[in-house]
Amino acid sequence: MKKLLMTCCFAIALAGPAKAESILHSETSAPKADAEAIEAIVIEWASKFNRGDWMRIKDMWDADEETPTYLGEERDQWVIGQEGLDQYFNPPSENTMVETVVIQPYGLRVRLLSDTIAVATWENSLDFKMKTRPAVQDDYRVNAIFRKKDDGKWYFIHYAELAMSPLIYVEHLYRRGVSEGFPENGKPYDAGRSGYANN
Amino acid sequence: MKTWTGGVLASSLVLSLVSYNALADGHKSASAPLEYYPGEEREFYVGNVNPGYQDFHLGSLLPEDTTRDLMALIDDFAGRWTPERWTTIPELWDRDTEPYVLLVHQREWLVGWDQVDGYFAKDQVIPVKEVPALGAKGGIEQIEAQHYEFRAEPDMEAMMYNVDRVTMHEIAPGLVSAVWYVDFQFKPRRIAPRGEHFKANAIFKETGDGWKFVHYGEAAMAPIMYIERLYRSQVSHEFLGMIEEQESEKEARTQ
Repeated sequence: MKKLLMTCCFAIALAGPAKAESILHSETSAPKADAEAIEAIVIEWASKFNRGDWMRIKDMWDADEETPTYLGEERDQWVIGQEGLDQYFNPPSENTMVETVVIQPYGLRVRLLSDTIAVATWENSLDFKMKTRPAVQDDYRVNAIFRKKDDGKWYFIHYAELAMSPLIYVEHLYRRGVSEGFPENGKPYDAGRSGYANN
Repeated sequence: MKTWTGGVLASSLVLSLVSYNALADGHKSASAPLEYYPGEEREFYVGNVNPGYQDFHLGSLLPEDTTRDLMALIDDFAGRWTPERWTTIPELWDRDTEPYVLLVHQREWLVGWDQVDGYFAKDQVIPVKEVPALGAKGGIEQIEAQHYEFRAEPDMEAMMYNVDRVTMHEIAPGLVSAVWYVDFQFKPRRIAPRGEHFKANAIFKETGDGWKFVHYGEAAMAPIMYIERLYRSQVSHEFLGMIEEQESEKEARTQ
């Protein structure tokens, strides 16, 4: 048994760390190198939130962009400009109501609009716990614009979380509980009406 | 019905002019021409989690002629959201660029011309695209969902798309990024009229045929926050006054 364990450990050591599964969607049209660079940024973006380092999120934005634009799904107003980003990502600590979050991005599509501008869309699965509320989970769409700078790296210049229309979202939640076989196993609701009318 | 339509058109024109004036002035302050949330004077937070949030509307940071052209494009886009004209919306896109479109009621992006043209066709002409299962746990990702199930437009008796507070700027030569607010009202057949406020973002490209859309996405507020706001809108001044009084009394006791 000990030998088997040692063999397994040796095999794992030779294989090295497991490579994380790509989150790139098959509809990605950007060249591989650019797509993978954006993928790394999107994963790092989520990772900063997940490890509580989100105050450094702004480092991932183009500091030379005068009009960065941001929209969180919890907001009904755009955050615009460097001043806006500063306020959003560095609020006074006494305002923090969030206990913990885990964000998992997936379904990332990347396309280039020019040599220096890329647009990406993806989804975030968000597990979220406020200090005073039970944990909740949410999936939402994101789109973002990135600029490639002279250092060869891509930076955010626009980011928006695109929540679904609330009524449609709630309808989705209701649909989750539909019994197996329904509606095929149901009778037409109006089936008895004609007979009733004849009586 | 005619009177109602005329009123809508007149309102749209006025709103359009107001929003253009707001743009041209380049004011940094809010300039909402609509009363966005009836009863909002009763809202403690006026729609925001943090009462300290500002309205960062910047207007257009583009040259005057570009601003005029792009506002005309946006107004044209808004004006096509009617039961008669919604199928013409793809005409405003650059046919040489792969389009991306996400409407607020849709589950998934429309990507590429087959999907965009198919969605905006009067009849459903394209195969249904399954939303791939991509490994996210829980949430609506596990729910069966298909693109064209969410074609709401064919069932509409009336639609009205009002644009408000556009901010736009150049992100590269010939490419402009824009964000704005939308007041969308609609009347499905056999259902009462309803309205929705959401945000939109778009990317425009300068082509030989003028400015065109290449990307468009709509963003509602997270449903849980939206519902919370409805609850906040039910709070009365009397209750807010009572809370204030309690806090004053508490402060006095601790001094």
